[in-house]
Amino acid sequence: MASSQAIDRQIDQQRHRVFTLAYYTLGSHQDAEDATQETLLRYWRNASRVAPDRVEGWLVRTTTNVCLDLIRKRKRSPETFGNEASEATLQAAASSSPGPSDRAVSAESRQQLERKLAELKEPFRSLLILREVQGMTYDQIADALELPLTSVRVYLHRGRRLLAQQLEASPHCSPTPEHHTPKKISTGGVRR
Amino acid sequence: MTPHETSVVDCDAYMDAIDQLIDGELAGPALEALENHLASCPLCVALVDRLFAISNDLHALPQLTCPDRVIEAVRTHHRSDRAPIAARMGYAAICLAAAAALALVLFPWQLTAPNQPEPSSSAQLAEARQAIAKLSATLAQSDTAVGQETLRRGLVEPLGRAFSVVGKTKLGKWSAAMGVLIDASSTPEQSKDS
Repeated sequence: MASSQAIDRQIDQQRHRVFTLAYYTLGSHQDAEDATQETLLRYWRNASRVAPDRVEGWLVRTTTNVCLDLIRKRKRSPETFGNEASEATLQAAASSSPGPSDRAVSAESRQQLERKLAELKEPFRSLLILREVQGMTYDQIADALELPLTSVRVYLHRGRRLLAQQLEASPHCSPTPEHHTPKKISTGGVRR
Repeated sequence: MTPHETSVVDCDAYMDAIDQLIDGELAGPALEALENHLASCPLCVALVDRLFAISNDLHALPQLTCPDRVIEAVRTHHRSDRAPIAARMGYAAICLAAAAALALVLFPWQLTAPNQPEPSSSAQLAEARQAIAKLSATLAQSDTAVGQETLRRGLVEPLGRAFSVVGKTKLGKWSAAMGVLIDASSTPEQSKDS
């Protein structure tokens, strides 16, 4: 069994990952703090039952469940994603932005992306966050969410397309042409 | 159909390949086939661009820093969380230990009856009282797992000795029975802890 110090160290190492997942799932800084706190407390209470090589998966699964519980409990979708939401990401990205106007546009686009991401239904949202934002492999995601590998792939691909569709209406994203039009297409410019 | 014309039917056949391309998992003849298709299909090119852009944008979202106040709150909650002690010890062990302590309080005359004292009884009574104090101290330490050996050595055996000295065999048996129940109520996890 891990000592209290070892658990404390583990929690300290994983808290940023947990918080990031919670934030992009819930779309609220305050809710993300609550979810992170609940998740880490649950881990502390159950650490003796979690094998050392399963800690990350356990935390991902628990964070997702805690976030979904919060959403259900508060009877709202993460649509409150708004000014508050982009504050954290603005702070995190401010240093890398090239200039004030670019930063403003970039921040708005990012906020739009975050909002649309948070509006996605499960499991698309969690899969996109875990794969694209947190850089987990398909195997890690399948293991963490206890889903078959093929399901992870299918949901992720569908999630990307759903997000693309939702972003098409966004003023900061260039529209994508309707793809499946029942007609023959003549192309001029060729890429690839 | 000219080399620069394509149809929806053709596009549908390439959807999986496009997803694999975005995942970075498309190679060999399948990649070549998709490239040939993209060369004649601007809509698929636009879709690929779009999906790549979304993937890149998501990838560029910052990893956030969890505020220190969250971890401090977790630590504070954990420190004040005393509930697991019952789970660690087993409710039966706690109840029986409490009952034994109660017996000492309710029947002190049995331990101090005028005709009963023997030379060593007062020392063993003190030992029993120390055992009760040990139990209280142990209960107060929520972070410390309590094993059956702790209970046996610290409480059951001293109580048994104290009771047998004053000739209260029923209480002595009680104490022995408590030891059996503590064995039964200890879980594998508690054994590991101890």
